Amino acid sequence: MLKIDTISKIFDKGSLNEKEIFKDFSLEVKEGDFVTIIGSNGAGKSSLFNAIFGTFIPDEGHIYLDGEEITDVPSHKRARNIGYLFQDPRSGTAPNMTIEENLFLAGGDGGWLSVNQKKKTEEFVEKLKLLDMDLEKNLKKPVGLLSGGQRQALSLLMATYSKPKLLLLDEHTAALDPKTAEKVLALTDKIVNGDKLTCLMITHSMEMALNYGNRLIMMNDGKIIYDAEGEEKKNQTIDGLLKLFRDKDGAMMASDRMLLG
Amino acid sequence: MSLVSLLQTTLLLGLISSLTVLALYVSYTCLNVCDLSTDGAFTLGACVGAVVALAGHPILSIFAAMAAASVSGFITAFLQTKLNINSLLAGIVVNTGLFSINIAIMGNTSLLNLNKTKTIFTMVKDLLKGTAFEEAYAVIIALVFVVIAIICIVLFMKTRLGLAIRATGDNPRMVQSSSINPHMTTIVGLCFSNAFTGLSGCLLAQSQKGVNIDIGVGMVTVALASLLIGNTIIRKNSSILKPVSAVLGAVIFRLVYTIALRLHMQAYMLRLISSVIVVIALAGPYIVSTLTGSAGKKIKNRRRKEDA
Repeated sequence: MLKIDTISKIFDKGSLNEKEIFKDFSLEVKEGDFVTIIGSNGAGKSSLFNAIFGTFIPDEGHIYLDGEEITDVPSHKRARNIGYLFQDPRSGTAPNMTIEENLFLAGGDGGWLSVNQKKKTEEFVEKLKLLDMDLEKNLKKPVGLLSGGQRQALSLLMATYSKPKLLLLDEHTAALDPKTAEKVLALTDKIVNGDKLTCLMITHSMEMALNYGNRLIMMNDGKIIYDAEGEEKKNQTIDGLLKLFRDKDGAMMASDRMLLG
Repeated sequence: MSLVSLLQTTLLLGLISSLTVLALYVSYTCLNVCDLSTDGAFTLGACVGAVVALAGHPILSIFAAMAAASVSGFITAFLQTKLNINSLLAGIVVNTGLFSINIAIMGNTSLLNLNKTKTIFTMVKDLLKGTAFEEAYAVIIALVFVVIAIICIVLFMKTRLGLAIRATGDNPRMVQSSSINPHMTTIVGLCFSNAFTGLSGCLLAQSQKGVNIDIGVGMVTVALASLLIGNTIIRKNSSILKPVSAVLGAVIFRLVYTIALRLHMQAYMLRLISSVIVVIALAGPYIVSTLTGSAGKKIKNRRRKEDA
């Protein structure tokens, strides 16, 4: 499904700020996998997403999606197959445009000069009802006036509207209050399982990483230091993860945020 | 000059410049790009319109002016997207280059006379001869163009492409995530907006029966001032009212200017006034919030602490 084949990337090569993000990094994700990714700050989790989405092009190596090489494909073309949700609820929507207009951009299926049709709006309303956030009653409201949770739920709907092959979630609930975060997470799980999406989710919460998905990856310093699937993941515990990390790295990665978050 | 004809001239100039304001509505308000090539594109429209009209094609001259300005918009957009040049700088560079091009188009002169040339204005004047609208022919032409422009813009902004252009100004990241190329939307947006700037220049040249190379100087500031005046008057965020408010702003700006002239202000003060209006409109909300809002309290608190 997704295959990252020995990519390397050095930022600001030759300058004082030179920083090696990846060296011969490889990862393979099977169709239908729901992978949770944890790791300390600067471990390269978001960089991994940026490489997959094409925000930067690796210096070496190849990236394949569904058998097709996408290493040099620009982001907006990858977006047809990859949905991307960011931590900041403001990132995924256009604040000065209405809910309907935002959805039309994400889910409209006409040509460039097509206008939103009533039938399409009804479809939007149906989808919005599934979110259970009262968004369907505020179709004409600018997205900027919505709460963070509402916006993130809308972003989730937009990112998954055309059923992408791959969904990238970069701590998409970290900026929300616990109750809303839980709701958005439940929604995420529902959509990912319902549409059988392949999904990668970065999180800072070990509990979340253990509770969701069928595979868990721990990253540090641009490398995968732990990779558990199926039964092994199910039987893993927070203490186990912490111990693992100390053994592999020696340093204390377990910030309060990771334990409590 | 009688009051009626004075008002007519004011209305005419306001309506003609409102086409540039509408162009800025698309580029500045929707696309969030401050297109500093506006002055040059305005003059380009005027020059191309004049030259084509002189060659005996009054109707074609209008489309030629729009097309030429559109090409200039394409170049500005190309520089800021594909060549990654800062958008302000791209506008300035194109604006500077257009000066030479405009003189070249006019045939190595900085002045063209259209006194005896057949233009859309003389055509309509002949057409309306003897009717009740005879006197107001110029205003009618400008009004027709403005109405068509508003309809075009309102309809275009409702299409998927138009929405994508608005979203590009709002949140480029979201546009990319919706698998739309923000470079493409910027290019289309600036081509579209500049067409109206060119039309505006063309109509001004033909209505005043002549064009000189300075015709567009300061146009971007005047248009920006008009746009901001319009925004202050109509605050409602509706896709139809916004373009209308742009036109209203342009006419009001001209009206204020005309009144100031009657009060013996010198004509050359126009640009200073437009600059001041832009500064007030842009800085006003900030100053007000600083004096009354939380920012003001912070400053006062800091002063209090320093005093203590």
